[in-house]
Amino acid sequence: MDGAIWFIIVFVGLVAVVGLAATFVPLYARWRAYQQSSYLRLDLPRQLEHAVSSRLVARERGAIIGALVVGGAAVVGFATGVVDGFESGVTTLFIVGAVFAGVGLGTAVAALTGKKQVPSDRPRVARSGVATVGDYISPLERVGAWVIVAIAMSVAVWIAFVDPGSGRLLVPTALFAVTAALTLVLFEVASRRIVEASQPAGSTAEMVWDDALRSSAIRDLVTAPLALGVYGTVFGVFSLADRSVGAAAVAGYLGVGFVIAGLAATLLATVVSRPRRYFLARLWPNLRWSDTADSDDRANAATDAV
Amino acid sequence: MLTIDPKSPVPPFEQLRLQFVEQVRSGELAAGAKLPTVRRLADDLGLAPNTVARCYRELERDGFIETRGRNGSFVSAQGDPAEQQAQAAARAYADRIAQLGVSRDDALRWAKAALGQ
Repeated sequence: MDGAIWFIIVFVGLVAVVGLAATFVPLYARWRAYQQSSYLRLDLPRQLEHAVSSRLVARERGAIIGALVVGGAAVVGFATGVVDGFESGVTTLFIVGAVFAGVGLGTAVAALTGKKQVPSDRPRVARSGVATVGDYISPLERVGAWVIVAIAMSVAVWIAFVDPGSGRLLVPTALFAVTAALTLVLFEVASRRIVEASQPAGSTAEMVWDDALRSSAIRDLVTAPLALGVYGTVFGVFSLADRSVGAAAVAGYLGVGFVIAGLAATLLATVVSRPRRYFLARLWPNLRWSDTADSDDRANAATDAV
Repeated sequence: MLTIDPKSPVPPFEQLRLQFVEQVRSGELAAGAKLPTVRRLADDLGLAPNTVARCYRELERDGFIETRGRNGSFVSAQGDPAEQQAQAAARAYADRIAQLGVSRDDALRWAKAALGQ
């Protein structure tokens, strides 16, 4: 690995360590909770502030630790020569891919551990219907992950078919595709487990916020297969076009153009559809910003309105 | 939404049963809607599984819900045969809308247009 790659690794590692340290600072945890409240346009009651902020940073901590462990293992593998024979650009892609896989793994572990308890003398609320994974994540993101992973797998199979002897192209593409498929399985299994877990809540606000945290965890989980699928597809199609000549090269670059245009269109559609608030439209369609506020704040608002 | 108040003089089983009956009657729980499993609801509400199971049994006996083997418990269609058919059609429409990822506002607008409103 050359100096530039080492510089990037050290820089990203430092950022991750600082980010990890920040998750232990109460002020940062509160800031993250209110940032989420602002994104979702949902009041955060004072009595939920600690629970929400600690769950948010616990998941963030899990994601960073996962990224450091898996990304670090990839760096050690390349640095010691255990994994060798790739171009330096591919090495960087592999390390970033490992970081994404680590984020997915860490998020899954953090989201599935930890139990919430409500004191037995408080009223308890529960949903009378059944929520599914589809209520917490927009179809664009969930189906998008399946589609991009399928494309990455197809590209790997195509390379194996047209150029089976090209290990330098086939191995990285296949590795990206297989890792993307594995993280997709992890996403599906973990998100089902998250949704099926019991949801003890003492108020509607608590339940809405629990839904918000579930939705955010599930959306974090889908990032890994999406990113790795995109990596595999772009790397495979671009490398294939780069090594082709004549009409095959033209077709390859057209393929690159289609892939990039498709990704840009999907990204734009995702941003426009406000996926972060998707669960509110599905599970709480009539909820207003102030519905989750502290009861005394609501009373004051009502008085002000009069 | 279901609420169980441990300080209420009404037993938890009865609180739960009355809320389900009210939600089915008001249409908040539509015909065909799936209910949570006994274990899940007991965990969520901090009740014994037997309490929830007894509530489901009584709701089934009174015709508010039906159990479809391992698929779980579902809200039964209420009212006369025509109303029951209409509720089943409404549930099929709602399920299809969810599959298509269409917004509730659009779905309601189209349903109203189809009804000539």
